[in-house]
Amino acid sequence: MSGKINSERSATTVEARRRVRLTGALPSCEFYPVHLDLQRRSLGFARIPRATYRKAGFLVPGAADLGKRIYTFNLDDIALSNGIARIEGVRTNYIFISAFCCSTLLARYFDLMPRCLVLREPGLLGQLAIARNRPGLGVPPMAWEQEWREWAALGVSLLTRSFDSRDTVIVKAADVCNNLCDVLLSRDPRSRAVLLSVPLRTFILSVLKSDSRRLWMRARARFWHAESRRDSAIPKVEPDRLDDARRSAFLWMATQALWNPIRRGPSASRVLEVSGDQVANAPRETMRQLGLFFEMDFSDADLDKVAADQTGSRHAKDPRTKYGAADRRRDIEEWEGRFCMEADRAVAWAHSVAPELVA
Amino acid sequence: MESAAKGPGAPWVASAFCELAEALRMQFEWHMAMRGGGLERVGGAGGGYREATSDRIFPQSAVWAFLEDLRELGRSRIGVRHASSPQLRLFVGGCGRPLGAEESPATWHYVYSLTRWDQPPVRVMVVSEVDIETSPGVTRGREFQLGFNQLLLHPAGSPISIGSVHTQADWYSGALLLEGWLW
Repeated sequence: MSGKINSERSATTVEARRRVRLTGALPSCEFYPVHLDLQRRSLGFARIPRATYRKAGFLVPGAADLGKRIYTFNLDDIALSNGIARIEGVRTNYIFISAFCCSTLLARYFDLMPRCLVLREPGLLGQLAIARNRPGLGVPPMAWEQEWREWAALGVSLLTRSFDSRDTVIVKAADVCNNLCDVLLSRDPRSRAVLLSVPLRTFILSVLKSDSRRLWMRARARFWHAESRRDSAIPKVEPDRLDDARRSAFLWMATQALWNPIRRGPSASRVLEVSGDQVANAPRETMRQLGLFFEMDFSDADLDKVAADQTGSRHAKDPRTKYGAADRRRDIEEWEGRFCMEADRAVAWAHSVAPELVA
Repeated sequence: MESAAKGPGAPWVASAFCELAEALRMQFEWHMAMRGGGLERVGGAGGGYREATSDRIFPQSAVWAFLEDLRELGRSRIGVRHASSPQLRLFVGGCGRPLGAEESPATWHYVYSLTRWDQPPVRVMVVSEVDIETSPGVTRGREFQLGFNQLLLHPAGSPISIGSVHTQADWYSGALLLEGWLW
């Protein structure tokens, strides 16, 4: 008896999954793209409500509850459907980050603002960024770049969908997406970008403070070192031969190098540099400035929410933990005391390797 | 193995196209026998044909493999890289489809037959744009007879018709086609 019920339930689940048609899924940002497979030419979607967009620290499977079902479609079907009826997106602005720069805090402040849909480090963007320099065996890089740009345009258009046509989408891109800045800004002339970073010395101290951050940084340094073979702007150093402070400096310099094309190119007027220190210490003023820059017209009442809300007094990635601007300043002072010498040497090294990036 | 008309954009037939043809056919028969159809009726000559999206009938892995074969053929023979998932269409008991072309931004349309090997091939008429220009109002084109595991490619703008299928009104002996786009 129970076996029969189970099999009926299972059949229903399969039916429910199949009843989701591409034409129904594509216009709705409830279907959130999570897994891109360019080799198999498929794209999997999770189905999430607006509350999940707001709640998730990072919008990637594993870091957020995106449900148990993945709805997978032929990527070519999505492209064809987009060719017939273009996916309607809303104006989308970007926050590019250097890591450890209060970006999650900034994203949470945008959550408090009206008509904002905030995407925190969407996995699809990271997958596109990583795929950009991986043409596969036998595929000429130029041909791959052309093909990749088609998929990138399609993928990004999926991230610009919103629950309300009056929304603005704010994409906080993961640091691996820093090689996408040019593509994202050139896609829509209305899009603007914030480059969110902290001073080199603060970045080095922020990494050195914990073993887990050092481990993360070492992996990222290797990643960008590998990318430096294809991107001539990234300093040519061997991070595995450096100590952690210098490796951190290399990582920070790689970010600066990747941002230079949009700082200096035709999109320069649509780029604003913001310090993470400013986000932590003066959130209301920062949000006022960013509201003007993104042309989002925040009212005084909206900005008052930034000052009044507990976001600024909680840890952005773990809101249960109390952590405010004063705690952060105290922490940095403490890291200065512990890692002052290493940081001094790494900053001097960075000046010697790529003075134009550090100035 | 293959027959091609003259011209770069001419209709073109590949035989023994997909290694999974028998498995796909078997999956269709299993689906119809065990799950009772689920195909939607679409208007047309002889009372209309029936259709379903391929993911309702076939396992995703089989559709994926079929698409990969299509893309490989597209890349190597007509210089295209994209293939849409097929729409499954079943013609039985005297039904067919009158001349027409669906609107699509794609450059090629494909018609793949999974009609049983012991049944008559499906007649597909393809009218080229030249025919339409030189003989307006006159249906003139090239007829292809598609048997089991044969694939017809033709320019997306060319109207096609499916000849009436004179079999009994049962799904088993009907003409089974998978249709979609390449670009």
